[in-house]
Amino acid sequence: MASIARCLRAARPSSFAAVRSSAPRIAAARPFSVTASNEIRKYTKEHEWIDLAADKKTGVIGISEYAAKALGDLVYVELPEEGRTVCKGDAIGAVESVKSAADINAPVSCKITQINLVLEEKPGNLNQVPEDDSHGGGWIAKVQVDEQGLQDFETLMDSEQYNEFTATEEH
Amino acid sequence: MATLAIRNAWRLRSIFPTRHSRLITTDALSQKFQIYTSKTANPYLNLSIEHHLLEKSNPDSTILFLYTNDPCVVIGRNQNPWTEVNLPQLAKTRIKFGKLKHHLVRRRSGGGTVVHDNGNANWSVICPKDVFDRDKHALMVVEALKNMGIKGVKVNERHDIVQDVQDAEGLELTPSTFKISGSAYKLTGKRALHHGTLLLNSNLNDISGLLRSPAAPYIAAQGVESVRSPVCNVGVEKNTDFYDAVIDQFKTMYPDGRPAEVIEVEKQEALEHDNIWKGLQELLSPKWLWESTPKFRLSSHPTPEDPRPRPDSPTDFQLALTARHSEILNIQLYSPDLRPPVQTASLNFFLKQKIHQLPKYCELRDWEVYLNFRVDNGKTLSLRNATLRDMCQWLMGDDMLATGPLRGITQSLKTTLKELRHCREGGKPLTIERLEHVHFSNRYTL
Repeated sequence: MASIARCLRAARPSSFAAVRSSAPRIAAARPFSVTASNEIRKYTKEHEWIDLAADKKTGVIGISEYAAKALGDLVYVELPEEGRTVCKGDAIGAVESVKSAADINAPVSCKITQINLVLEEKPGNLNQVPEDDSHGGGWIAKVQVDEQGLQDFETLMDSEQYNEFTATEEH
Repeated sequence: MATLAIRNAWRLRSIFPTRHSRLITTDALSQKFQIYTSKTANPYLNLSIEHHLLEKSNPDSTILFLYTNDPCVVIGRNQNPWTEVNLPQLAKTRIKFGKLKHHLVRRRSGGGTVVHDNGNANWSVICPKDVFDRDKHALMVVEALKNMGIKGVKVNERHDIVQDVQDAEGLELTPSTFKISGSAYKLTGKRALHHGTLLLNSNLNDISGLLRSPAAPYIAAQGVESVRSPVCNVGVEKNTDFYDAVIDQFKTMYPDGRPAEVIEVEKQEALEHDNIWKGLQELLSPKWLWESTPKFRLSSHPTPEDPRPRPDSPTDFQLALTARHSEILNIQLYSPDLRPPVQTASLNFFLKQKIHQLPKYCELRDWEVYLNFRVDNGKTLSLRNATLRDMCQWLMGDDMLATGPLRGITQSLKTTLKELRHCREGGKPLTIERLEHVHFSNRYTL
């Protein structure tokens, strides 16, 4: 209620306006390549990534740029089922490119809370910005992470280790 | 009561551990190179055996699996059966007791729609994902065909096998290149599967009729569309000759010094594998077949998003609906003759229903009950209102959603599952009388 009252006050011109306007404004759109400093991103050997939020209870998952490049132009993204609880490694959906249906596996044990329906219509978004978790990005699902999920998270690779891993995969 | 006792006796069998196939043993699945051929022609069972090999084999192994299916239309993982298949025609080809001449199958790999029969052979190679290459095993099959003396075969840029055909005098025909095999792939965490068809001696006459859907011009669909190609047979009489050539080429490609061992998978033994049975139940479920369909929009008239001209739009009304996973998300209807409450009621009837569970249009005698309304002066509106009847007939009839044929196809899935369950439980082979019993008992359990 207090916040609504504050908004109403702000709507009326007042002597506080000058003070208020000097306060820094948060940018409306997140720049795509900047990860907020309070999120940690880790990768699996199967090229999925998960951003764990600072509260360690929620996260966002997707597939890596390395995988998206290897798959080629995606023609369809089969999204996970909302509300489903999965274990690490379970198949939660698939991507199709060049007649190949490739499984997407859960990077950690988690519960799917939201799916990126835009991808069904525009699978190309995944090719363009596979590691972007904003609205127009290629993220696949938002999840809730439990104890088991946090344990699984610790076993994953961070960005540096993942880059090394993919470098060796290329022989 | 006697039947109940017999059924209970069958159920007791499931308490005792089921035998695993002598042939697809844990030991067999752990070998570095494995070769299997199937002795069943049931497409759902063959795909389930294939999936079992994909899931349960040693991750470092390379496997060849060869099989032939009874007539069926096989759509890819992310395809739309309403646009890809002539469902009314498929459903019409009933042979006996609710079974269709051509089964309708949705496979787990990607790609487009193909038609199989006993003159088509299927080959499948499973290998570690890190050595996955889309052409490698298609090239292997091309070598096998060359070794059989078949000329002009090669792999094209779409990873399909094609044959350049010339007539007797050496003059080139138009078109001169025909597709003889289509490829599709499935990638899991550690494994890659590449399977393909091979037209040896197939009946090509049925194909174009089955694959031209009357609803296609009206539907804009997400997912994967098939790419048409002219096809021809390579002209091999016996599928086993083709199998032998491919097995030889596989051994040439992967010499391992061990004596030849080809495992023949029997129907009964495959069915007794719990994991194969589980996969089979999924492939035979109406949910898998219909509800894997990506979002699509059906509209009676051209729209800005879908401006294609329609061959035969209705004149009394305009209708559009959106469905995802077979569930109708929204539906719009415009007609000068239909106003609320009739219009609203009829639209509400369709909302949230799954297309494959909609009643057959003509089965409903009491539309009022379903539409759940009466007009203000106490009179109920029956389908004597021509526009409403026309609308339902157009939407649910054979040229659009084909709700009648869908139910026939779903019934065929259930009959097939019952037959296979009977076989798995070790029953005597089904005689005509028993099939009859299975068929008629289906009609009351749908």
